[in-house]
Amino acid sequence: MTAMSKLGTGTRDFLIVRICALLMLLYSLYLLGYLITGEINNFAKWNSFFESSLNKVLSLIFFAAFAVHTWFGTWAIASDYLTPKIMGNFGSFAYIIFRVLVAAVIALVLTWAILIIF
Amino acid sequence: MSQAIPVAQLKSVTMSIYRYDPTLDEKPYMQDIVIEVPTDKDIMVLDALHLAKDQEPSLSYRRSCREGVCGSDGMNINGKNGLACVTPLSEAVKRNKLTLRPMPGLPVVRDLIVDMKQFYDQLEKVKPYLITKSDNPETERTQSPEEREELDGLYECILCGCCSTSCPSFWWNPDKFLGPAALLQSWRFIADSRDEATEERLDALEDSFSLYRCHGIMNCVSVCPKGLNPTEAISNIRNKLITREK
Repeated sequence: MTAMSKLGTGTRDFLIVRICALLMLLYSLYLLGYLITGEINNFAKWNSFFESSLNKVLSLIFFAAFAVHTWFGTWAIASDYLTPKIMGNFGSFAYIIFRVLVAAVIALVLTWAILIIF
Repeated sequence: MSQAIPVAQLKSVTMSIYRYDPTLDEKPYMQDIVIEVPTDKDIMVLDALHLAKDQEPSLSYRRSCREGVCGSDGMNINGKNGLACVTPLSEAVKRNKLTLRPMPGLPVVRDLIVDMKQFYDQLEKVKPYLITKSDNPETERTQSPEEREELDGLYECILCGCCSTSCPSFWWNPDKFLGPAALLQSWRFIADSRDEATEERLDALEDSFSLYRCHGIMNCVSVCPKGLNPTEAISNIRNKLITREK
């Protein structure tokens, strides 16, 4: 974390986005592994899989990584396209609206995920 | 004395050319100019432009060396940036039509001529020259052949602007994102064993836009008339930024 704080904003954001993507990939492969090998082949096993504390924590990490990845990723998109240069006077307003919407969607997904997991 | 080419050996090509003279035109328009080109030899897009200019003397474009060295005649040829002087007409013409537009993303001065100021401003930011701090040696600053080889694929850039003006990140943020041409030059000096300002150069690239706005779509590599690879240079700088110790 200390090393991260010494980095410039560009390098820090670049690493955060990729680390979050890696966490989501690993979790997806972990879950996929259980599904492909037939370890989870009915609702009871599915339910018991998510009852495990380890899997609850891993699922929470996945959704936290999703939230951070989405926040940084959509910022990059918004700062490319939703700008006064592209959209004129409407650009700054569109940027703020988009960011608020993204924050709301992330908050909704996170809340929903926490309610489901716990 | 040159001989006139028999009519039978000529074929017609329609050139659709972007025209805009801000002193006369309210808005840009495309003008079709039909030229006759010889069938027994290939000519370059620049030669075709000369033929078009014979018919339409007000047509404006930059050119100088006409052999891919000066980088003056960068333009958008049938949707892809390139140098008119080294692009054969046979490669460029599609369905007997050739569409020429100015390089995208930069303000148009007139017709195919763009204002390169934003491009040069970004280049200036990377300090494209050797910076040394140690005392001057008695003779020149030497390099081993291996150190010199590190600059291959970097020093050849002619600053035509084809790469930066084909990059969407440069279109959207030309004042913040340095663009592939400037970043290739930045790596050219970071990679130079004689340069002594690597840390300062890297520090200047650590914000969210200067370098990190590159999303690696590689338009720059696809259009570079010299066959250079700015995406790889950007990747090399990024690796240096991530792995360096502060």
